[in-house]
Amino acid sequence: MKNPIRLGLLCLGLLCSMPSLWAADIPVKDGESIQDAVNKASPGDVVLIYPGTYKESVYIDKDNITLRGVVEEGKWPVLEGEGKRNDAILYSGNDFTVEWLTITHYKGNAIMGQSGNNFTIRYNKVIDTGVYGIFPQFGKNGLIEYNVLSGIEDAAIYVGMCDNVDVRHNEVFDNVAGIEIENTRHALVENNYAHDNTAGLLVFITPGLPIKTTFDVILRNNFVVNNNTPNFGAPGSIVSKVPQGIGIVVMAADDVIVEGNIVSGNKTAGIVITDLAFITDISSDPESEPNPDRLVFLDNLMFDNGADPVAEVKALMLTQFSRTGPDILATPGSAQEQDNCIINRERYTSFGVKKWSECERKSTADVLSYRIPGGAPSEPVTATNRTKLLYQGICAGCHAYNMRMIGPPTLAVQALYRNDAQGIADYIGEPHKVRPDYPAMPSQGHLSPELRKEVAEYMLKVTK
Amino acid sequence: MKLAILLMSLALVACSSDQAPSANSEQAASAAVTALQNSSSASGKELYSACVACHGVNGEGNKALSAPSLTNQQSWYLERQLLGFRSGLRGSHPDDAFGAQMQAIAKTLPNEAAVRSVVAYIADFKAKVAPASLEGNAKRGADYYSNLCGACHGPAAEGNEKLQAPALAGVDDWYLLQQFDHFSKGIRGSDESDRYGYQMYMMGKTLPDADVAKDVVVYIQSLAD
Repeated sequence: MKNPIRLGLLCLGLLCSMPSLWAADIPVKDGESIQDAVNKASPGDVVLIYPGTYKESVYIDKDNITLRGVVEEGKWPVLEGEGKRNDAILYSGNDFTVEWLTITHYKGNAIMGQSGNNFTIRYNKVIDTGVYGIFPQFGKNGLIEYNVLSGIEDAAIYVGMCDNVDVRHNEVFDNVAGIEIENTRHALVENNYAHDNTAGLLVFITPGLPIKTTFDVILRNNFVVNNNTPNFGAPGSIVSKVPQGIGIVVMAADDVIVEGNIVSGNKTAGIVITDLAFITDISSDPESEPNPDRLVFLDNLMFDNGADPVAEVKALMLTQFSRTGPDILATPGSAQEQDNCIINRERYTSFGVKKWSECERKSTADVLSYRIPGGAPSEPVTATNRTKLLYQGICAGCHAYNMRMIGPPTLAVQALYRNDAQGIADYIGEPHKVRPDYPAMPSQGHLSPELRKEVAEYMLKVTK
Repeated sequence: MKLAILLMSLALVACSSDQAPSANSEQAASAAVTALQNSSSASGKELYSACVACHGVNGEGNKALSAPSLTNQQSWYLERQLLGFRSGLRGSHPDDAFGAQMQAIAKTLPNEAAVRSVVAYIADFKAKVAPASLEGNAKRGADYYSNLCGACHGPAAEGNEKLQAPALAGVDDWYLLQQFDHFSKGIRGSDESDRYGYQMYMMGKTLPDADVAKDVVVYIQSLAD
């Protein structure tokens, strides 16, 4: 190691991104605390988690930390939420990696990112864990691969308000939504197996969030099969309105390319392209354009979709004398316009694609990844952008401005707490359940009272 | 055709704005004030006799007099409203003629103990859902209700005391629509010292128009059936 050339090569090999070359392995054994190890860790360190059961929530707010499970002869480290903890892993640092963990029985999220860039989430098993399984929020440049997730009551993999993310080689099943790409730009969703969810792959805009657009998404070479599980999302939540039996949903998102997928056995439709009215009439965010524009539908293998469509789709299909749902359904309105395109349309049963044009682009083989070469620069946190980052990275994961997402809409919070930022700051430090039909708010007690007050003041001023 | 639309919209405007209390209503309200002024009883039942002319023997209400039914309103909420009328938080806006009537009556109740005993008497009435009187698009109403209103008033419009949000299901639909209209125009709740009223005053601006408000109320009514 003392050889300067070798040192230089090592540095290159690590992309020179590590502030410390003396990265350490910090072992955690059954009966010990992962959080204690994280607290001791310095940037560049690897926390090695040995097989055992870890009943805790782990917060990582420093850069360049790796949590790595050690799997020994089939024995995994298990993070156990016991149905009472909210999050298993909550990170806000940049260059974070989490891998080789089994996560189960948490109420909220298995792995949630709050505005950390350059994240890697791979080789994890997430089972029966709350609202979201893997949920990077408001981060740039990420990789989500080789994870298996099931039994999530909203989205198993939920990429929210991110940029430049690859989601590949994951298996998602028995969830309400398999993989969601929401208010996110430049995402490659490839080689995933989405089966037995209510809906398999969803690319859409949720209005009323700080990031207003979803565009440039490739759905490629996925298996999207038998997504017919009855919707078990929390009644009243947005996701509870997703009709069962849909392979792929593209709602209001632009420039989505669908290529090389095997889509079969989805009882309502193989793919639905729609505007926001599909889920709600409340699309009154003037900055979220509600129409899906410039969809590119290349060659896909589709068969046996639409055997028993939901009533709304059945009614549409009856207008063209069919009782079964289609492979491709473009709902009435802008989804049927000619800015969308398709090749070999004669192969599919379809509704509403007559006006679609022929695609000029025939393949996406030129795109290997949507991640940023060399990584995204770390966002410098300053006093002025800190509260905005906090709001976008944390609060906006559950609170949309004028509609119910997971928590109550921001404008209802503004009415309840007008001129009372301190009231919000106190509540989120130690929340208690007040609404019978909403999940309990997770404590934000890991934020200092000053930060809670700052972000509360910010929330009271949000206008869209 | 244009004339017909104009006439129709004029008719709608006329219907949606508050009519001044009728002579009957004024008479009943002043009789209630007099009755309470002359009463020295602390019994809820006897105090309530002053309310009967408008709200009915069993709290069933009387639309013709713009008096809502009371049987589906929670005691904690009725008490807060009576106290609000007494203090002038409610019923002080010049465009709230019926509110002014109630304010005068509530102020004649001798004390807060009397408020509590009359509310306790009302609490023993048998709950009965007020009949539906409006038509609209309940599906659209459900969409807005679950996204906006349900956060405080609850999934079945059953109310949430922790948030001081009253039950709405079972309350007269015409009264809910009238009060929502008052909130949205600032006739009710726009006084900043009215903490909970002001919350609804803010929320009153979140539905896009009166049509949607009606749809929401139609949906709320459907929850009570």
